[in-house]
Amino acid sequence: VTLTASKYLLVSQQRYQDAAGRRVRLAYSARRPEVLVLGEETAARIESRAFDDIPAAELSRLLDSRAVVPAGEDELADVMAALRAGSTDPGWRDYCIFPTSFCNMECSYCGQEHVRTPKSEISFERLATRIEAAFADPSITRIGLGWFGGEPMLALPVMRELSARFNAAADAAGKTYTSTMPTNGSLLTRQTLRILHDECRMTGIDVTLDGPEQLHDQRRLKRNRVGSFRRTVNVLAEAVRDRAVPNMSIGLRMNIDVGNEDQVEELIADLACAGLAAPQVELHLYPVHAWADNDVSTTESQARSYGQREIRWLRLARQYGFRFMIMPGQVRSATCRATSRQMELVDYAGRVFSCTEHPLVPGLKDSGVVARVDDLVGVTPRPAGLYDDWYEQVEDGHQQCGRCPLLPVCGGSCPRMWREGSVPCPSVKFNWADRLDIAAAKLGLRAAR
Amino acid sequence: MMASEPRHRRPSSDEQRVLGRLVDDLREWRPRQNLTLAYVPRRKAEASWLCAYARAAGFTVALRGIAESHPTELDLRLADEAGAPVVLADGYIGMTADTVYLFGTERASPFELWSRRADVEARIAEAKAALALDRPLVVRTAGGQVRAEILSVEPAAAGLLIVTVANATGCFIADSSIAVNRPMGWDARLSAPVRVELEAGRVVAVSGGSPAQEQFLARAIHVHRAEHVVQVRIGLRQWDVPVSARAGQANAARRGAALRLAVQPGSHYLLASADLRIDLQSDGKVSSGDADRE
Repeated sequence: VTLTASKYLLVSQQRYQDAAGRRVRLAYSARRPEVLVLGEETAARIESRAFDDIPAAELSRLLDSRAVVPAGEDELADVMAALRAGSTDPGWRDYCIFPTSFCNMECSYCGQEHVRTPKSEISFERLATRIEAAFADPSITRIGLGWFGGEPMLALPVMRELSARFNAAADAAGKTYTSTMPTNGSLLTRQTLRILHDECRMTGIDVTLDGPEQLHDQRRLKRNRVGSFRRTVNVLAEAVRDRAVPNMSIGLRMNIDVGNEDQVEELIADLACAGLAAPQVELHLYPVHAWADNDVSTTESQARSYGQREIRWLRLARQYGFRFMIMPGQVRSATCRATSRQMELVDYAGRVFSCTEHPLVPGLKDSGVVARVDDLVGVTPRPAGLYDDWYEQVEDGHQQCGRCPLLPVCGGSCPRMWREGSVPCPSVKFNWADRLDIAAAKLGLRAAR
Repeated sequence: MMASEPRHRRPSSDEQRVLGRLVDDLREWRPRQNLTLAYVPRRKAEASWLCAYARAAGFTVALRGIAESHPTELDLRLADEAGAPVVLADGYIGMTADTVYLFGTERASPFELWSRRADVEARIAEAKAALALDRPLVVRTAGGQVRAEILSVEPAAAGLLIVTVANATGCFIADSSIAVNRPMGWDARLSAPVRVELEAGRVVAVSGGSPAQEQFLARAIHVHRAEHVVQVRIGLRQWDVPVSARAGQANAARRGAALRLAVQPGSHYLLASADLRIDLQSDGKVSSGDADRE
């Protein structure tokens, strides 16, 4: 069989030395996401396509990791087939619930519209029944719940009530599920964290901190004008230190733009001082992306520039002991909620959407409705939305993602942003070689002379 | 020198002597006969030897493998255990007071360091006798000198003399290592000296170290208020083991002096960082009054 290097293989040019003094290079195979340590000769043979010269055991490893593939293989077709299979997996359901559209913050960069909802308009009964049916359906084995907003913690009573029903349904069916929530953190206390952990069985929260205290409290301004930085950090640090919520992963998310990029390093140092560099905590750095109605566009040059700065922050975070994703560790089963009918978003009024962007953005919250939960029968997947043709667009070459070496682990990131002319590529596309450098340090490799 | 990673072999006669002495000490220190022996992966062999010796001496021993990097987790895990904690690891500071901690480095087994205990105890006694409460402590580092009032002098088994001080004033140059009671991922060896200016027991300026260390020190000291000099920790072990890249007791006990910075009770910036402690280690000399002492 004639072999070739996978189009989803990245090989770093940097040379390293391992503990035994062997010169090695690092590679990353996006089809079976893993960092590969290659002897310098093997790396050179891959680059020169001299596969016959690679020792059999090493070649076998490369074939297993899909770093090297048969020359005739249509890799794009295989990757797209995997995405389609994941997105249409009948045994999987993911429900993103908007328990409230209101938020107690007024962040300057947020394009959402937050309004208080009259209680008479709130109804989750039909949604709860639909999710209970999913738990009861023996053909559905994998269920994910997401709580979104607005600030979901403002609707904690709703979350508790619904979670009690979901827990009962899950227990009756002998199933487990994942439950995650982004939050601004301002309403977290020791008690509410325990409720989320114990009663809502939340498996992960993502708390946004945008800078050191002064900057955070200025950017993430609460409507009552009271800062939330100290309280949020103290609560999280106490929970981590006391193992109060051991089954819950805690993400620390930083939304980064020109307004706070100069203070990211200070924030990382502050969080390290607070003891938040812990196994339970993962750092998430994000360039602020464009919400539909504001004018923050993301061009490729901006994304590249962000990628370079991000590496500096990641190197610092590593020195301070933080965990973060160095290279993506999983093949994506779907690009996003908008590209899988097994995933749906349901708001407080029972409207069903396909894209997280739609429920709270003026203009889209009406046009983006794909169904009403009352109209959906049993566990039937939602109707197609605006972006359910994404995979066809990638495969037929209308989107550049079909040529990207990271497609298997990215899936194209955000179809909406592509269509609006932005470049939503993750930073790893632009700084993967530097990230492999970080991986090398973690593996105990030293830069070779 | 004993092998640093003695896997798949029997303990040498030196190591057997240390093990015997260690078990005798444990019998004295931990009479309840119930031990939890926690060990990092690279100390598996030493852990198995110690377990065998302790069991032969009548202890009930529970073995617990532990990760190296996160001390908070370790403290919490040990707190849940029934047995008196004994830890075999290389890099760590901040262990709870009742933990017996046997530390090594990349180059030296914990048993090797432990074997010199008698020598260290003699040095501790000598150094303690030379310090007087009514005379100032003087710490001379390369390019700096600090004077401080001595409040108390306490020996620590690891090979340390812990001098609690007040009103430290002057300039301290750390040129050996840094330790923070947080699970830092950096190399604890200082690639560039750290300069600390002190007035009346507080840090008024800090600079140097790697860029990451300098950034951290600036935030920790000037924002989180880990600015108070609470101790001078005098290391008294004389060994030829290089400074370890892992922060921990092995570095702290090396011959030299470390400045311990902490947050003054009640003056914290965040409750979460109120327990922050930073040790800046130098190869400097310590004296009381006029008498220099290494």
